[in-house]
Amino acid sequence: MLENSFYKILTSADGHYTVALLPDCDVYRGHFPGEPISPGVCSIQMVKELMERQTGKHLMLTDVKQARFTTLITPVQHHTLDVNIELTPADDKYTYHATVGQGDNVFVELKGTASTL
Amino acid sequence: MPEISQLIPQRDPIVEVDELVSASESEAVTRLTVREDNFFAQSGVLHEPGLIEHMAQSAAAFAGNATFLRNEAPHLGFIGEVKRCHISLLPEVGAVLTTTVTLISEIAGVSLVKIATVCDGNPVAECQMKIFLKE
Repeated sequence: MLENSFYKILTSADGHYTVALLPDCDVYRGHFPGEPISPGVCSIQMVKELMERQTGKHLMLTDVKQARFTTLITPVQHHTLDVNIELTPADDKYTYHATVGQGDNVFVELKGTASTL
Repeated sequence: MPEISQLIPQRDPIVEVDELVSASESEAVTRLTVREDNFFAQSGVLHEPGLIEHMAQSAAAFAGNATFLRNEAPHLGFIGEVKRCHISLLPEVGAVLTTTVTLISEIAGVSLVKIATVCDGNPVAECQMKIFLKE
């Protein structure tokens, strides 16, 4: 949904990704006019898409146990982001722990359960 | 009730609430009809980020109503934390979502709210959110 509109994958290896944020994404027209800030839910969707890539399965984020947004992400200040995803399979589900940030600085942290569709 | 654009700062294409239906000091009800051109709709359903954004903007509309009554423009609000979010189903295009926001606490620009979304009486999604309002 958001790959190549909101973000672009630059490198991908073993649950570690580097992505570029695309400042021309349509979402910034409304979030917010004249003050582009990446919607927190777009980070959530980006992590979901990367998890689908990692598992090769369609997933539904049935439970987000906790999502913490500690730093505002903007396509002006943050050209690239590091995304790290740990997935643990359990029956027809995966528990996930993901971070979005730059190096050791974590901007978004997500924990929860995703179901396979 | 005021127009939604007077209550929340988000604009097209990421407006995920159509209207504030009712609001008191501690509770608000919002509505959204899922349209095909929704930013987070794909293959005929509204996906998880659309539901979470809808819940966040419902909380923003609740906060915005209080601001509107003070004759101020809506403040930018940011999700600080989402907790215990459970999504039961992804609503189809055409579905009408009704969402109730209940204020748990509000301290120094940080609101903690409980949010529940239903469609035709069936639970769609629920969560707790911590929202930061920029002064």
